[in-house]
Amino acid sequence: MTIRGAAAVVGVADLHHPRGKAPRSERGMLVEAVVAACRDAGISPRDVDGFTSYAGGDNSGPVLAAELGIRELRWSTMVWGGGGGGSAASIVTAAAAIASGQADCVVAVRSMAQAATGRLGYAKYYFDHQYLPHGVATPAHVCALRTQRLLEHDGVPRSAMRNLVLAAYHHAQANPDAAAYGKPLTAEAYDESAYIVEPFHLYDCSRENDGAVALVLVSAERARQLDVTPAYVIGGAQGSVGAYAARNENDAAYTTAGGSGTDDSPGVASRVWQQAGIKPSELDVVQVYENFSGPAVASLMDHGLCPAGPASGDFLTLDNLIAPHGVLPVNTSGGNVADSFVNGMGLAVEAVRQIRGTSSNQIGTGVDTSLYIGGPMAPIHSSVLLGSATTL
Amino acid sequence: MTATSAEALPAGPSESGDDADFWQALDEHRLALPRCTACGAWRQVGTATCPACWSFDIAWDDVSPIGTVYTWVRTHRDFMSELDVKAPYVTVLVQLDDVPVRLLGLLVGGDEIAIGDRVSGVFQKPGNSDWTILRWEKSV
Ligand SMILES: [Zn+2]
Repeated sequence: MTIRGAAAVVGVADLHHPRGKAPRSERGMLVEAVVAACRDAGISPRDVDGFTSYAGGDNSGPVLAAELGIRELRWSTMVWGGGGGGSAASIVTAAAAIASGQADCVVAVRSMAQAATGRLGYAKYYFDHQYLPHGVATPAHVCALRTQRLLEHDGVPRSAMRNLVLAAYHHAQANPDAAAYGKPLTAEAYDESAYIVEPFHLYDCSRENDGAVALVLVSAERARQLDVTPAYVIGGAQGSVGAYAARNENDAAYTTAGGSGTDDSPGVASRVWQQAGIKPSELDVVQVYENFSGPAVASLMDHGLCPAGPASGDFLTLDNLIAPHGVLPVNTSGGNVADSFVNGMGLAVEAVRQIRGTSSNQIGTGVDTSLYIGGPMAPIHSSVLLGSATTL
Repeated sequence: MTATSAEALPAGPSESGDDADFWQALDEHRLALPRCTACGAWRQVGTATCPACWSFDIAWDDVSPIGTVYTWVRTHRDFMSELDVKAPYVTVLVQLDDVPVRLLGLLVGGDEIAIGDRVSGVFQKPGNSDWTILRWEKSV
């Protein structure tokens, strides 16, 4: 049994606002996003029968079911392991529920409001006393530790990180909805920007927004009856190999994003490609979660999308990474660094847009494969591969 | 606990108590790490069981606080008001010589560092801490 082609994303909503400027509560924004995504799909919110999410929060399936007045809740799943690492897994879990007949219409959702989360900066709630007395107190720190070794020991050049950021800013110039629209970034400005946690410059770090994102999934059969271009889920996986976790400085695959495998365990990335029956070299476009640029580079390596070590610099050039003609266009809306950040879920919506042909940086008509890689160097990792009808 | 102000350094045993021996040893200027007495595997501080054999039996062995820098970061902003040092400061992850364990700690006595540098442990009790902390300085 496989989820390949069993379900499709048919409705999306990406509603974001400047940090601290949420027009309503997290729950209110969630409901607004679900209704908007259902409208996009041409489905009544009353027909929704499941919800999935990640990274915690109190707005559970039963809460949303009551807010929306749905007929029957049949699926309510939170992906364990905080942070954005489970973001793609929330979509895959929705597809799995549909593929197995547990539910018919599942919405993957995430909402964040600074007033409710108190995110940014010091994460005392997250790090224990093996970390805090040493000044390691934010996600930036644990990602910086791994990234410094990626650069200094593994030989990945700084240009790999820089070009990923410059590509995102390049794409943002064509996306009026992006925070960096009208604010192009040069290599010089990147290099001269302040360090936050070295090796991360300011521009290596994601933005932080208030907002809500929702993706509506239904069965492939139902998707074909709707007046939308379905983005079929053709592969997806979550997890980690060995003891990999954001709070484990002793794991073996230290400089990976958490998606690579070992000799006897394939890992998230390989499982996605195997399910889809597609090779990394055949991928059309990728949206890769950049909490920070370095971990995103590691994600591309884990997924076999660029070579490891010094050779990564030969591949991760600005020309290769930008739409429409790059070998592997990345983060075509501007991504977490130049568009917006609602725990990375906006990237999943952009992955859908590429299949639909509606991106502000559309790489061409007839995009067949569009990958969304969830949060790297996190407690759990996940990714989801979307495909056009041609791939079925 | 005596330093109960909001500005006390976050340190000391967790509520589970699984790491109490680690902190007790630091106060005696020893580095003690957990080892499974059933299979001999070195364990992580603060875990409940041995991931190699699932035994609960544990011993705390003294370990020499000497090792090599595995990676490092330099923090340029003061994220934590409770920390007794101000940015910029360097944190190192140290691969210990004698056991297959890496430990985090602040670098003291300098701020230039590279992967592969040799370091040795320094036991420090900051003025705002009830507990002794293991920090690191470059070996001469
Ligand atoms: Zn054991």
